[in-house]
Formats: sequence, C-alpha cells, structure tokens
Amino acid sequence: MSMDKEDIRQLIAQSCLCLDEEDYDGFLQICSSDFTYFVKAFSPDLGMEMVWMDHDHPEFVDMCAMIPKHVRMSGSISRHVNVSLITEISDRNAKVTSKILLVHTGQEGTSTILATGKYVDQITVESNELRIKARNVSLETRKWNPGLHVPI
Amino acid sequence: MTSRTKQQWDERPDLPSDHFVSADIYTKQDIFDEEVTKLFAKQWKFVAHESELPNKGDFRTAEHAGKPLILYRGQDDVVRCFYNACSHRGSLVVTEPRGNAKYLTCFFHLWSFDGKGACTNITKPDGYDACATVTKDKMGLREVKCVVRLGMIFITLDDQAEEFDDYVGDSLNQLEEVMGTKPMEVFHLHRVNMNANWKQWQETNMELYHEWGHVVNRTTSVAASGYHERKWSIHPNGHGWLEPLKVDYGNYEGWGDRDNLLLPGLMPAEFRVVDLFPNTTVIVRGTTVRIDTTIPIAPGVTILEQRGLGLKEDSAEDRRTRQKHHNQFWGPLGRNLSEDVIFVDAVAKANFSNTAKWGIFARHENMGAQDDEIMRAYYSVWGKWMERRANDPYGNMTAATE
Ligand code: FES
Ligand SMILES: [Fe+2]
Repeated sequence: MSMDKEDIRQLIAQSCLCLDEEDYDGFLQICSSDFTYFVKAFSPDLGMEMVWMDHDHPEFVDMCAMIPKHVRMSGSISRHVNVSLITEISDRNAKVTSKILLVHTGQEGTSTILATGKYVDQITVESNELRIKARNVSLETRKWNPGLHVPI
Repeated sequence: MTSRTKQQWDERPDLPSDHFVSADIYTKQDIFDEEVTKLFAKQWKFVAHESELPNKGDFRTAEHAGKPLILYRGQDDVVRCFYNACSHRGSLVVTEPRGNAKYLTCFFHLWSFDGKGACTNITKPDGYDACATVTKDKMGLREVKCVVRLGMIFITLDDQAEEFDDYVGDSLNQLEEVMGTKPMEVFHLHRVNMNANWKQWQETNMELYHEWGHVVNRTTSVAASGYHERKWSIHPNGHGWLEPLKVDYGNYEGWGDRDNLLLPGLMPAEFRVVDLFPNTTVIVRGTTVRIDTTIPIAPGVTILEQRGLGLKEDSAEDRRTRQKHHNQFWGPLGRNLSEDVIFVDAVAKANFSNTAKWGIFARHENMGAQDDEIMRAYYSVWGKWMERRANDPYGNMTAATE
C-alpha cells in the first residue's frame, strides 16, 4: 500500500473529530498497536523543553479510561487542524506536521482559544490501513486555566 | 430544619471566632491592597530555584508584591536580587525571563550594572559633571535581601525583615535531606490563571479533606494506611508540615509503584508536604518535588506558578521517569492539579458574588492530616500581620457575638 496524501489528511481529521467527541476507542482504532503519545512545550523561563505527557499505548489507554472519573472543566473542545506538511518517508511511513488550535466552548456558549501548537504525527500502515504510530504535540501555549484531563 | 432563610444563611456561624473566615478576606480590594503592603512587602517569599541560574552571569526575572525583580548570579557565584528598575530613568533593566551577561546593560540609554548591583557604566558621563551625585559609585541598583536554602531562592523587600532562618525556624527540616543532599534541577515550570484569591489556592495545600474530591488522592492517599494518623506540625509564623505518608500509587488504575529513583532520605512512595506562610508549598512524592507559589494580581486574579524538580545528575532515562511521575499528578495535563484550580474557581465564584459569606474551618482530628488546625493557625498569623480578624475583617461583629 502506498501513502496517499488525501488519505493521510482524512486520517488526521478523523483523529481530531474522535478526540473532540471524546471517542477514545475510535481514536485508538486509527492508531497503531505501538502508538506513542507525547506532549512538550518550550519554557523560556528555564531555557529548556518541558515534557508534559509521555505515554506508550497501554499508558494512553489507561489514561483515557480514567477521564470520566475526574473533575473537569465543563464545555467542549474543538481541534482546528491545518495539515501543513506531509513528508513521505517510504511507502509505509510518513511524517505529518499540522498546525493546531484548540477552541474551548463553555456551557454558556463562550468560545475561547485554549491552546495553539502543532502535531507531528508518524503515520504507518497496519493491517493494510493507515494508522497513527506516534503523535508528538508541541505546544506554544503554556499558561492555562485550569488544565486538561484529555489528550490535546 | 433543612434549608436556611437568607437571614439564617447570612448570620455569623455559631462557632468559635477562629473556626470560620469571612469571604471579605478573599474579595475586597482594600484588604488585597493591604496584603500587598503589610504581608507581601514584608514577608520572605520563594521566587525561584538556583538551578534556574546555574552559571556565573545567569539572570532570571521574577515579580513580587507587584514589583519586577532580577535574580542575578554574580561573577563571585553569589545569587543576588535587585529591583528590575534602572537607576537612571527607571526602565526595566532586564526584559527577558532569563539570560547570561557579565554586566546588565539597560537597553534605554545603556547604563550597566554588575553582579553586585554596582553601576559600571554611565553613558558619556561627562554630561553629569555638574551633578556630583550622578556618578557610578552612587548609581547602584536597589538590592533586595536574598537567601538560598536547599536550592530555593527566597527574597524579602523589607530590609528590616527578620533573618530568614529565624522566620522559617525548623519548617524546612522535612526537606533537608531530600533537597539538600544532591543538587536538584527544575525541569517543569508552568503558570495557571485563576479567577480566585491567592489564599484560596494556598488553602488547597493545607486543608487535606478536599482530597476526597480528587480521584487520584482518594484512591492512592486517603485510602492508604496511616493517612489519618499523620500529625501536623505548626510553626508560630504560620508555616506547617505533615508527617510523611507512604502513598499507594498502584491503587490508581494503570499506575505503578514508586519504589525506585527515590530522592535522598525517602522511603518508597513517601509523601511530604511543607507549607511556608504565606503562599509557598513544597510537595515531595518519592521521586519528584513540586514547588508552588502564587503571584496575586487582584482579589480575584491569581497566577499560580508551579515547578517540578528532579536531580541535576539524572540520566536521560531517569529524568524521563521523574517527569512521568511528576506529570501523573501535576502539570497542566496531570490528574490532580487542574482539579484544584476548578475547585478554587468554584469557591471564588460564590464568594465574589457575595453568595457564600463564610468559610468554615472547624475540623478537629487531634492534629491529624485532615485537622483544620493548620488553617486556623494560618489565618491567625494572617490576622496578626494584617491587624484584622479573618472572621471579621471590618470589625462589624459586636464583642458579644464575636
Ligand atoms: S533608563 Fe536605563 S539607562 Fe536610562
Ligand atoms: Fe488538591
């Protein structure tokens, strides 16, 4: 199977729709069995990169399973994604860089920008389907209220 | 009787005067303004960790009591603190959060200052020949008292403040071995905007019965054996610390134990907490340390600053593990910290709308983990500095009802 750019765009879009819906089973279905998830942000105060989340597949599954038990910010989050760069590495692997904007809409209807940054996704082929093998989130936003329990 | 009428709801709680506070201490602008001058301008305050400026010439900026500050490690390797204000016309001297320079040169008219705060350059100084007081030796920066203890940098704006070691007494003893044996390093720093009063955040680090509200704390800590038996120690200056606990991290679905990579002096999964009056807390969770402090902006606007620390000597793999442990509970994507922000914002919402007029601190558990004595002591010390009673800050209650 070769990598089709339109299929890759569809995959990234689908991943965001699943996360918006908090459909983590759906999200994991389009991820490979060795999926890894990583969130980082650069700290100008420390002059170094901070790691904010670093999960392998089982850890990611456990984290998602516990989300409903937590006290969370009410409202919904919408991920606005612009797939900006697809670099085909081979017929079975691609690297995709997307700019992201997370918009939060409160229960009363106000929308505010929650975070901006980018996804760098590694795409692979598993069972003859495109899968996300790794999602590395780089955040520019570092000041939060109050914080998130969900994947970005 | 079940619910209460407005009159019943508003009336003074039928409790001893130190067992409740008035919401006015959180919401009123005049009280906040007084806190800046009577508390923050006088007290010792944690501002940064020394690992944030490890090399000679490193500087960091900070803010305290509304004042911009510079922390600067001089060529003599001593960390000092100065107002971030130029001796010339008052510009910020440093406009970046961090950097390195042998001299700090103000970007406005290029006056320079060294690591001891001395003025080392006045641009074209002959322009001041007619004014004998505008000379390098008289134009140093305003130095702020500063000490480093266990790697933590504390400052006070009050030149007459009591010595730091007298101020904290034995409050740092619980951290002595953990933070003082091997050099530590900050690997995480993030800030949170809270729509709440700064004291409401500090309360979350002292009253522990809200741990029932956190699923992680409920399962790993409150359920752990010995949780309630730990005793608070309370220092007369309002600091407090709790005897250690062994946390059952494995009780939270998907988490492992914390038996390895322990910081010096700790048992596996050991938890410690030290609260320093008025707004700093150090929390130890076996392998990693969190330091909280707040930057009060207005009665209902507070910036929380949260740091995470590991050992400076960490290998990449060890650091990764510590960061994972840190991020499980803390950080903006952790399981615990954002819940506290939600709790605190919810309390503030009712306080600032004048809906909830009182906060009750009436638990007695023989100084155990969930005893409110730490809160009562905190507000008693707050009252002394502020010359106001936390339950009646405007002196509205008659002597009989007070
Ligand atoms: S204000 Fe700094 S050199 Fe003039
Ligand atoms: Fe909490």
